[in-house]
Amino acid sequence: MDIVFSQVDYCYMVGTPFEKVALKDFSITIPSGSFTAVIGHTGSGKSTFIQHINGLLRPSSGTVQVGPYTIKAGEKKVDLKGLRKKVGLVFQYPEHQLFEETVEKDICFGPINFGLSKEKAVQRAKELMPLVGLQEELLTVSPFQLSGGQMRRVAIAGVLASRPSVLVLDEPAASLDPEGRENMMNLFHDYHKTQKTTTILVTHHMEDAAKYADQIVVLHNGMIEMIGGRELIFERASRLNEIGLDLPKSVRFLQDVKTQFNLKKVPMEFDVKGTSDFIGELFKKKGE
Amino acid sequence: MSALVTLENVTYQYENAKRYALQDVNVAITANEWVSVIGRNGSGKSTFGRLLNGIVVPTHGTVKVSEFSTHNENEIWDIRKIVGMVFQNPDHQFVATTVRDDLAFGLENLGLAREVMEGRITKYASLIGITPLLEAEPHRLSGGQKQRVAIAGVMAMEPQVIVFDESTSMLDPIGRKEVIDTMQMLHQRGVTIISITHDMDEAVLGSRILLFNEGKIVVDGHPEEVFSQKDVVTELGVSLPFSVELQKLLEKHGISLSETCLTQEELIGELWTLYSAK
Repeated sequence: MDIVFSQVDYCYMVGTPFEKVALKDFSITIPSGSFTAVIGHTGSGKSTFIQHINGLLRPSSGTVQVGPYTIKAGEKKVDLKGLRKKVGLVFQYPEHQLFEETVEKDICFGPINFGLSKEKAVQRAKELMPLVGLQEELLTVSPFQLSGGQMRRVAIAGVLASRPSVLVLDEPAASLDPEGRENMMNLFHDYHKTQKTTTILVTHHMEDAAKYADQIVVLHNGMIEMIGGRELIFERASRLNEIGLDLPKSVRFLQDVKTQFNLKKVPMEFDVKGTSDFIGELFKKKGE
Repeated sequence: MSALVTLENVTYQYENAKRYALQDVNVAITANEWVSVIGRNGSGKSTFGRLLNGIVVPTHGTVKVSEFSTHNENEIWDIRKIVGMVFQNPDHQFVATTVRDDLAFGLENLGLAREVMEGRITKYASLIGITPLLEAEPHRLSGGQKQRVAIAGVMAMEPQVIVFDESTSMLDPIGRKEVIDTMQMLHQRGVTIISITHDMDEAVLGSRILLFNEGKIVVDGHPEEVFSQKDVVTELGVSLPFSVELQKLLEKHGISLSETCLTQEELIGELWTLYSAK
């Protein structure tokens, strides 16, 4: 589903002394089936932005379109249930939202609520378990007996069980160990590719943004500061720095190499392998 | 130097858990060390942190802080004056409606006189650089500001040891830098830092690393020593700092450095030296 924001403003606590503009003249098109990373410092508007995508927040002015659903400022009638069936939102620490007696019931809650029969919901829960890296036997246990990492996987299976066409992820790998982080991100990336979902990832990790996203959106003070592919974004190191963001480690490393080695140009590499290949070449040339 | 924190044969099992969260852990930490605690999720790192000021007490073995034992209920408050904790989620650490009242809350529990409390709040707010925030409402602060307020609250109790349990993991790059700078400043002032982290570039800031696996300390050493055992470390679910990983790959290009470089600056320096000599 295409997602289109047209001149969206959003203010918190309108008409009080605490009134705060959180999104300002916000226009963006996110094409169906794309993977978009959203980066920005704390308070830049990332959460406000993503909460508009499933109607948790409504624009103060402007229009938000998600596929066939339109949310226009001031208009009340929106099929929020239909919208939320299509937009799956994985919050930070999704495991805090588990509440059912068994893992199976927790995963089935969403789809049943959206009108799926119990049998079909249970079938989906069974299919999802291996996909999120859990054993099927765990379906009958209480989610509260599981480890933190397992609980998070259950919560994610619960979101995927409604088969959303749009998947919004807010730091889904926060506080996982490096191995767990990579597994979790690969899970979403595979899901994105096989289900052709429109995926939006909010992250503080520049490496993840560079690795997974087709396009990166940089937010600053409630506005879109930059939008584009990773080369375009990470080219602008000094501006990113000014607004509290960093370069991916490999990009920054080669920038520092450029300065120290007094090179005219260095490529932009997004992994350690590419970085080491470049340094290897550099040394080889000098030896010749 | 004698140890400030000592764990002797410490085993810990959570209620109803089948396996031990920690098993037979022995470690001694001396004053003003900076110890980074790393390992997979579930390896026992956080349990280790919680044992240090008696949030949990060992199933077997003893945890001693200075001359006090966490087994002795009468000594728990003495221990908590010595060991402070800063947690991961800044939002879970506030109780009052202004930053000033929040800092006062912890001090009230110590039973200090009003003037002493006020003096400490002024002193540590200024030290951590949060004086302008004293009248602010905690929930309106940025993540980095919240963590620094939490640190000031802990500092005001004047502990000798501070345990940071993934205190930077929810912060954006600026917030993270604010907290790390504060940790370094405290360390220079003599505070013992125990930093539980998944971020290896943060782990190398310390002078000692404890690597946990399945409830045991499997590696205990200087960061250079620990990360030079690259394969051992990765097998235990821990990633390498960027510069160590890069160095490992550079060997395949015939570029070998004599020392393990823990930071990008060191690595670039070493590479430049090698390159210039070619």
